[in-house]
Amino acid sequence: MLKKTFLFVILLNILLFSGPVLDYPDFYLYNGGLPRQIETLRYVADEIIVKPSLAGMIPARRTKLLGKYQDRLLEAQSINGLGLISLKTKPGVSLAELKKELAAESWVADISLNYLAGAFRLPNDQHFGFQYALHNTGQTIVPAVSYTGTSGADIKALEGWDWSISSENVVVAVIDTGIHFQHEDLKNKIVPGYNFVHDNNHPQDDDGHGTMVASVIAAETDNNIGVAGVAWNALIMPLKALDSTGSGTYTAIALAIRYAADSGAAIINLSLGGPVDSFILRDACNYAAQKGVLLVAATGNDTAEVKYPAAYTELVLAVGASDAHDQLAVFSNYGPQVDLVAPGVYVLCAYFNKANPENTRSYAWASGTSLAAPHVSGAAALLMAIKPGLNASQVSALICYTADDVNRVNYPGKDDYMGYGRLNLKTLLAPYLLKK
Amino acid sequence: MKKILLCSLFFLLFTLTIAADDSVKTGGFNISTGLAFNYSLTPMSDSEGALENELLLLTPLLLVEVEIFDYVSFGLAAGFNLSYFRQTLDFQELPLSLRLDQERFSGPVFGIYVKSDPVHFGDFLIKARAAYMYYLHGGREWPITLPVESGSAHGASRISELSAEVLLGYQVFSGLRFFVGPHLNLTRSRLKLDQAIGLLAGEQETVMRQQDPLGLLLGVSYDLGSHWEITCKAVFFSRTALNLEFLYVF
Repeated sequence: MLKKTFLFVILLNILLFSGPVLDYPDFYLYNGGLPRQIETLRYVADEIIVKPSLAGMIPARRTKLLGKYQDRLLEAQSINGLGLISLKTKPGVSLAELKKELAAESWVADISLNYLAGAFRLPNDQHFGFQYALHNTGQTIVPAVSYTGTSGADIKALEGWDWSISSENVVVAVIDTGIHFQHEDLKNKIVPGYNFVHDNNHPQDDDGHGTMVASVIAAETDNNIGVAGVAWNALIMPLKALDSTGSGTYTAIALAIRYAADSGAAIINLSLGGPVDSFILRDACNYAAQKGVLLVAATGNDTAEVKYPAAYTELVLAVGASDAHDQLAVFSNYGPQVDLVAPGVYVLCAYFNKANPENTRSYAWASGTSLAAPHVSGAAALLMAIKPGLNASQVSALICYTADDVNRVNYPGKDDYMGYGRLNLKTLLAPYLLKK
Repeated sequence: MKKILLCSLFFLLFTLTIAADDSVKTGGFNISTGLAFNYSLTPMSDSEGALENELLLLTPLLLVEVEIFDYVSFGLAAGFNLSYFRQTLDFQELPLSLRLDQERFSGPVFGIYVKSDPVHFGDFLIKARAAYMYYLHGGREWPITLPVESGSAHGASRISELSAEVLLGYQVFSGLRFFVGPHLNLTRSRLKLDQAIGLLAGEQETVMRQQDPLGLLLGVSYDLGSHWEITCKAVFFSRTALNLEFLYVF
């Protein structure tokens, strides 16, 4: 029995491909939207910019003048072209005090913090116009099938990115079919992972599913090619637990979950599921949750009850799929375990094309709760980057509480179909205005 | 507004009662009582000097002064204050980031001060004054209404203010004096917000201090009749402040 359970092969109920694979060069360019300003004053927390009174100060003289501050400075570097000096401070140093002391120096003409201002958060990725999940203007999403969206039925990514684009300190483990290491939109976003199917340290994708999931979370963004990820700066830890057919054992998945928890992942994305509850999967989820890791899982695609591990209510954030009109996707599973939904119909992703594995700029539309869950994992990565003090259950609660109750007309409040509602990055990340 | 009117009425009754009874004279002390109205707009910043804002304070005060030595008076001030930050203030360390936009805090204010004008030469005189004020604010509650879950935020605020000034005065003619001098002011604001939404709870405190402490004070005072002294003062550069004071000298 135990052996049977160990060998239980889960079915990967995903990948309802409904659109064509989009190989480079692309046929559509997006050029819309306006840049927006960051609303509040932000600055680099460990840097002071000095304008010396004498232009062209040689490094030796600069080192001498800064000698008395060496206990508080990490490094001083010239900013070529501006005639300014960047001073990097050690952790815990008060910028205000240092600024005040430096301002009194005769060789300092002016001094400033390195403010962050006017960041433009409309990514220039070529296919961004198809990514209705991030920004839905009612555009054509899949020209081949004339699928269009409803304006506003998106996760409000543009508004959310004004507050966070995540950080390289946040690592998201993707337990899936692996990742396309050479893909132009992912190759710079990968930290070492593991292949639990072939027991080696090269989790190369041989199916395409893992590459798509990873790209939704953290595709390289604003790089003029391909697609944008939800969490621009987060990194992906690929853990291959599913084989080239999209199937894997509970034990492989459990090993991958434990590996992620032990290797510094903050979030584990599980775009997979099986119909049976087993201690193999439950114990592994429990282990990761105990270690403070947030687990995000897809609910399943057979219009039935929520699959495992998404059904572990206390341990996992269960994500269903919505479409480009903020309706529940026809295939999305339901039940009291559903926490929220995110777009999962015709999601454009980076892809590993089995038919053309050398193509490093392959993209494809896909549908399934597998594509909804990574939107939520990306959202968690955005939040954790700006609020590192929050624990996994707080992140989970906040993601749910700030969701849009898009089916409130028929099911007000939390319901079995869309949970708390559709993911909303604006309400998750931007400050809530207090007023009577 | 109601509190301001009550304070004013109380002061008026108090002075009229005492003024009507000439027998109320203290043995060794000269007592004065009065009303003051203060307005100030103070540039503030956080400890890193990066978050900048302006604190607006409106304060009607009741004053009681006792001359404890020749030319040295000790005073108590009590009244009501209303304050708010003019620019939005974000609390991003809370689980759900919160923003205040000119949300007003109000409550009682208490203070002590010492003032003196020890040096007189011809029509000139030197005046000095030091004061400490403490502004208390009643806690405020705001609802947090999210699509499914609801909660609330609670805010508490405290402001303290230390000030000192040394002024050179000139008597233009009997009863009318102009004065000018440096004014030192240190304002510190501590604003704490906490929130509770479903399973989420958290709190964050923001401390802001006045950016530039040293300003210039210009003022004028006028003796009205034999008991009233009216003073108007303005502070520039470090902050913008206006002060109007009516003092009844027994």
